[in-house]
Amino acid sequence: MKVIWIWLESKWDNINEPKNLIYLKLLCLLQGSFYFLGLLRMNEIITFLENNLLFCPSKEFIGIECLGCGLQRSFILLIKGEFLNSIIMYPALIPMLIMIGYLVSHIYFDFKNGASILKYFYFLNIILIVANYFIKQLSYI
Amino acid sequence: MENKQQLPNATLVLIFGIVSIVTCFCYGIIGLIFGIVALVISKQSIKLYNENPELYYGYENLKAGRICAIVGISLSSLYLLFILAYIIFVGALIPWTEIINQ
Repeated sequence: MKVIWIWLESKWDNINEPKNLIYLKLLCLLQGSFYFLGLLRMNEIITFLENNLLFCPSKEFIGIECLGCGLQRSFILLIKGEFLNSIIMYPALIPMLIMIGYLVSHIYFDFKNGASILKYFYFLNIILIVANYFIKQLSYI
Repeated sequence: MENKQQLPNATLVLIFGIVSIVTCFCYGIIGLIFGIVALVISKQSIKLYNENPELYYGYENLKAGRICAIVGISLSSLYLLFILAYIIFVGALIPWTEIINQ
């Protein structure tokens, strides 16, 4: 990651080529990463994940769902590409992934208002998790 | 003083505070552990910062991590209390005498 960033910065310093070309190169890099994802055998990964779900102890022994129930199922749906179903299953998954990615990039690059943005993401996640939990519990009654 | 240092453990507190919500699910115990560790570390770091505030930067990370840790602790402890109350009340309803007499 850092190597790529240093390479990009060196590119930015001596700009002999127009900006559009750099954006094109970035797009090619993105597409190459998607191609790499295609090389991974996603079907096998998905079936492996579906067969090896971690069980929830509170659902297993007590009988009530916990705050994180649905996270793995929704992640599998996200990998499959069913965004809407994964949002319905567990709406806090995508903001959570964004938050973790932002946290890692904030530690690397030290954004200016990174801490406060992370705080707001955190509150958003908590509101989504708790609201989703209570709505789910009400739907069982 | 030109050479500013980064506050020690500021990013660690931020990470632990955020992880405390992500892992607050299994009975709330893991989230409680992470949150309490983050709070303890942040208390030391705040003391260090207040002695000479010009030396360090990265105080905002520490503040955000502390708030995250407090919220995570409160949420996971509430969930833990809820589970404990559920076990106590439902456990009282189970006919223990019949089970023992069998």
